[in-house]
Amino acid sequence: MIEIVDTGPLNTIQDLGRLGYRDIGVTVSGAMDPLALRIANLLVGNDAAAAAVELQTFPVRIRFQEKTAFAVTGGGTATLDGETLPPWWMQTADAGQILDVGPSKTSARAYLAIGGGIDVAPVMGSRSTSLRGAFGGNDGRALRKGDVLRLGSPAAGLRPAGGFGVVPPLRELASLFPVADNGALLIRALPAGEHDLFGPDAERFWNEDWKISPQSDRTGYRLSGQALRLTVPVEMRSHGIVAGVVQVPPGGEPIVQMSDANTAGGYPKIAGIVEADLWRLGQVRIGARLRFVRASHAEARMLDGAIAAYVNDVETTAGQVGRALTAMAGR
Amino acid sequence: MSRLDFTDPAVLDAIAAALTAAGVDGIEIAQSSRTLRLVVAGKPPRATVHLDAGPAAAADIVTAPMAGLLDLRTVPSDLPRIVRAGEILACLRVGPVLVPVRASKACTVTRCLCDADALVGFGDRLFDIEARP
Repeated sequence: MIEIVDTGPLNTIQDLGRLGYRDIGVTVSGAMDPLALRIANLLVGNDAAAAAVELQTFPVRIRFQEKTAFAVTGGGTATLDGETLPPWWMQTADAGQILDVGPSKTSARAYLAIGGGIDVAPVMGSRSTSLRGAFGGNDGRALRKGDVLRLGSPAAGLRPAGGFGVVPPLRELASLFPVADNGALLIRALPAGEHDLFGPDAERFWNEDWKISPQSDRTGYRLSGQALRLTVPVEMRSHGIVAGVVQVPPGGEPIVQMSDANTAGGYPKIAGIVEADLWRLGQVRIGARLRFVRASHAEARMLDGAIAAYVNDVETTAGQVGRALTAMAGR
Repeated sequence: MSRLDFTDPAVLDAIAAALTAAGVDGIEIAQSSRTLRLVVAGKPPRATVHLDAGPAAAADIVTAPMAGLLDLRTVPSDLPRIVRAGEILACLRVGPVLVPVRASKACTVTRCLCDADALVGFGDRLFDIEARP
């Protein structure tokens, strides 16, 4: 078990989401940075989709009540009993040791995976917390000081006490994730159903920088910038939407649907963000600037393939290195 | 650092696992009185490592715990640097995985003996250190 000694608000248990129930109005939820969650799980020998803790407000302090393999990925700066851990790192803690996680200057969210995963009851096939629905995760709510979380049984794969890490994806795949000269995050997207109804303003959507406004959370990011207008007003029936859809409400400032996305909406859709860039958006901090880049389906598939290859490489190599280090430590 | 016993099956198993993880075909280790050759997947070894460091030299160096590319970006690499026992000095990169190179005792790290991103083998000398009380 692990004890939440201290935490900010809105830190929750998440996995890869509750798929298959949007047709009855159930939000998918799941990690805002699913790549970081996958890697954290693989580092501790879990299935990549196991439940972990998503941290988005800091500081967070956790006490291990038993010997436990853990990994911290994504943003966040972690220390174990005061010793700084490298980023994207796994280690084994002894009973009583304290893990502190603080904020990162560049990324919004950290993921804490535990060997065996967080053992909460699945709801509709997922352990993710749905805060708006108040179900899933730990009693359907954010973590609080004093919470004690049960852990699953760790996998048989060996993990060395001395720990190891991975090269973060933005470094390993740097050539695939460029940043604009002015520092704006470049987010690739495809034109969506009502794109052309914006006429000349559709081009401004692609050419201008947008700022993540404070009215942003796990449900969606509201973007600040010069308002976009339809050439002719349209009335639309509500239709299904997913994370990554960029809508433009009557006010003209786009909304990007994120992990807790509504299941349906009636605003015009100007673009859909490619899935390979959604995890980067999940790490953007409020106030950051981004620019949309028009992508192709082929480019989206290429990026998906590159990320899948990275994840597979981590899974394979982490297992081999873990066994080698454990064998050497026991010589 | 204690000298490895290359007649110990556990040591051989560990080295074989490290070679597999590093994608190395094989290795030949030559000491003063004997030579050990490990081959992965039936391929001939392409590198030979000579392990003849004496105890006096071993006391003042940090060596590679396995084969990999020396990564000096993950933890601070400015020198000289005072470190505690167990502190991470650098990492060895094996594919996307980073293996820590730790100080075995409290010391001052005075010199890095390899270039960043250099391919190093198990037991290669990586850092000169001066022990601290």
